[in-house]
Amino acid sequence: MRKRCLTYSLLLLCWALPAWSAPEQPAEAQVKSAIILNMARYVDWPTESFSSDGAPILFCYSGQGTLTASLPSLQGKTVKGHPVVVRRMNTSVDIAGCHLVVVDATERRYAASIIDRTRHLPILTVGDFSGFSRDGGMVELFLQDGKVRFEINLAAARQSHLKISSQLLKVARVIRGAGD
Amino acid sequence: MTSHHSDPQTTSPTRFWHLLLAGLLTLLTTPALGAATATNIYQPNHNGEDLTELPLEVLMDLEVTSASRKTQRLANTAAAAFVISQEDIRRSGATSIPELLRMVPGVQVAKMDANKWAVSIRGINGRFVSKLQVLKDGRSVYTPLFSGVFWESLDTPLEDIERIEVIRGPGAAMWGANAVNGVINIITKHAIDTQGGLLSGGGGNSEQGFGTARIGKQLTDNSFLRLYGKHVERGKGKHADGSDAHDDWQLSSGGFRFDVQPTFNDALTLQGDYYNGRYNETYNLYNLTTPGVAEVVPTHSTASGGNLLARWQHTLSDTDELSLQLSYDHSQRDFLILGERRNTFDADFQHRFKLASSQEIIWGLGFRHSTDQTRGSSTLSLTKSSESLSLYSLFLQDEITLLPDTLALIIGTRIDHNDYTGWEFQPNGRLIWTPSPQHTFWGSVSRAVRTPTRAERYLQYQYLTADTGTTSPPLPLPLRVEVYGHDDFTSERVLAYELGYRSELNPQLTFDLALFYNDYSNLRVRQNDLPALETATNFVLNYPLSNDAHGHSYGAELSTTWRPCDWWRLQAAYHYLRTKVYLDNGSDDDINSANTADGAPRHQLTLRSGFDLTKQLELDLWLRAVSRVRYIDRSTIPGYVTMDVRVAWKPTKHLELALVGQNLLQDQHPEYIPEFINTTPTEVPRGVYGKATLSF
Repeated sequence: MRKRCLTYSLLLLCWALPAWSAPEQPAEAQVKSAIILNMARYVDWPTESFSSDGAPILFCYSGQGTLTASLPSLQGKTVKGHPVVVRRMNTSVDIAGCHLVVVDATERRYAASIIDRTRHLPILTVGDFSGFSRDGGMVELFLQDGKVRFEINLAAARQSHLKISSQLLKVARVIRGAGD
Repeated sequence: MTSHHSDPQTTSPTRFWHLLLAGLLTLLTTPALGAATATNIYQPNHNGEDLTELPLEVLMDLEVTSASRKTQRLANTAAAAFVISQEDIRRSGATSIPELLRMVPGVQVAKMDANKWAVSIRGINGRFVSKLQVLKDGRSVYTPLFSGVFWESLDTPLEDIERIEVIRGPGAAMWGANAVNGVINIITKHAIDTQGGLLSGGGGNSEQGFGTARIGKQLTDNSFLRLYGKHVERGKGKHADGSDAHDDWQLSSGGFRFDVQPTFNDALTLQGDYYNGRYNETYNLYNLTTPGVAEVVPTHSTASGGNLLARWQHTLSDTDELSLQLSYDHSQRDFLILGERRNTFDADFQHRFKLASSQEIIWGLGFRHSTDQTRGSSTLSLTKSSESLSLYSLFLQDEITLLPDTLALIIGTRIDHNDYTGWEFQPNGRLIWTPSPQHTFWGSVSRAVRTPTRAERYLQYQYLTADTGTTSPPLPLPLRVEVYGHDDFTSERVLAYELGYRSELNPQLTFDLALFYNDYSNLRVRQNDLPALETATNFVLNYPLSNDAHGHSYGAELSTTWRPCDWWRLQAAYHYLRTKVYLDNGSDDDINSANTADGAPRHQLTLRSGFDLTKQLELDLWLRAVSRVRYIDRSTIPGYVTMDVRVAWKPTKHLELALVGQNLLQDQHPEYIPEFINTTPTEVPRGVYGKATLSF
């Protein structure tokens, strides 16, 4: 009888404790998606990247991880007046039209070739695994104490003629000169 | 062997049913979970807020939960699939692959002595179990000698395993002969995922000492290497009377994996392993000169071997992929009564592509060539001491979408040609219905064959016994018993019907149910002859192996995962299994039917509970309840309930200290009586070990 009682109290505790100690936590992938959208709002693409002011901004991704699964929720949001279109890349050939490319952790083996193909194109590359920005990617997402952080490779962004707002750089960890 | 040990504890499962019941009640009465069910996982739903509308600073201040990455592929499989993840491995406290398999519903694992395991899926278990396909990174590791697996030599560092996929039921259409009752695929991590260093080691009473060193290095922009070395010293089991057995063992292994991505569309993997093991064991030998006296011989066996594998994957488009895999495997085993040296070369080609928008085709070609040389003894030998066998195969599968994202039909077949039985045809048809993303129903009908082994064709096993009580009436003279293979021995066959349901109501609650009915024919039996006078001094009793049995099995497998809260995860798995085997000639031969009919528990329940007590402290409990197992000659292994406990402390990100107790609920318990080859069975003792893992 005592044991059964313990079981039920444990379950009660289980429900009570998280509610009391911390608010409900959003999923990592959702926060990362939101950060990617927000980040895009602090980046200036060359004007020739868009055919018109209201032309869509294309977010591309490869891989089938939790992050890329939550990216389609960004569809229809806007970045400086450009509606977001999210598209899955089928081959590396598809990269050319993209404004932003997300490389999921599951696809890190493709990272080197994606970085290579986007080197001089105005495409913001975002990687969700460690080593991405060091290897020439522009933005690397990581977790620190349970919070999402990012690292920006400034040299890589400059090579691609993307202007990154100083406001964004202020909250990022910035590395310079790598990956050329 | 008659065993006398304490009765298994039968009260514990009741307590756990209470726990489950309590859990379900809470689930039903908690509105929070019900509400979450309706939430689209793609919709940011943080207290009703749209995350994308929050400013960057706020987003960066949110604490997030890290969802475990799960394999999408298996969630949509029209088969009874179960995945053991790296997290499951780490938190199980298990130190070998067969021990890990105990968490899978429908898989029976029995430890025969400290260095031998019998693993089966959906019944008919034995060390020489013959109805499983086991692959490591796509390379088959079963031996054509008896179509079984030497689990004791398969000792990849558990830290390097990405996941283990277990598919119950015939996987023959995809994986080839031998996958009659299931496929176990051990998948190691990509070298990119093991960058940096890892040192782990520890020891205890049963796991006497073990250590692994691994280093991962990036060689160029797109190539990665991993090297590992491992050594284990494993302790003795117990005899029924509590004394130490002679079955301790040691194994050293080492290997590498090299992954390179020469272009965006190509991936190349090279990997290899080498192992060398020494296993103590005790034989009960009936010799041919002194009838009836079982000579007890403490000895040791050795096994060593290595393998090399190269795999090239080429992507033409998202829906068009090619892969080519070549592998070579060498092994050498020396048992007291048999030695075997084997070389196997294997080539596999696979192509996946979309044919129109509603059809996906996978087809492939395979070739395997295996040569062996064996050394026999007066007790056991193969009448053809060396052999060279080739296997050619072709498979084709078409997945036809009938209703987009809702209903698909999968039809496929495999056609093999082997040297013993010629052409084998193994078709299957599957239907998968996904009325909503949370619910999947599937059903299948498939045919599979298990081709004859070397032993079934050429075995000669004999002994002289004075124990004439095995016959009735008792014989006046000693009896020579001879079990032998036959060149008429043909493939065992199964026709399997399966139904399954899988649900993921929300990320916190998943549920999987599979039902099956297997119809077997041409099953192996030892034909029962009458004793005849052979010479003036002895009788002879012949037991030719033949395909003269048929039967059926049916059962249900259930698994569920529930995370009532962030810091608590519960996983339960249960199976119910019945097997019936009958002799074709209708005679009611008790020994024969008991031999093949059983060897697997009717009920099996495992319950795992993982607590994150604090960010640094983990507590894992693993309860296993296994019902009685009946064997040949009506001996039984009583059911048992036992438990493992793991406590782990991570003082820093790079260090983990764990204390693990295994089989804690009794001093020792038996799990198996070995069939056929008479090595002394031993019992599994309670074990405690400590382990430190340092990553850098």
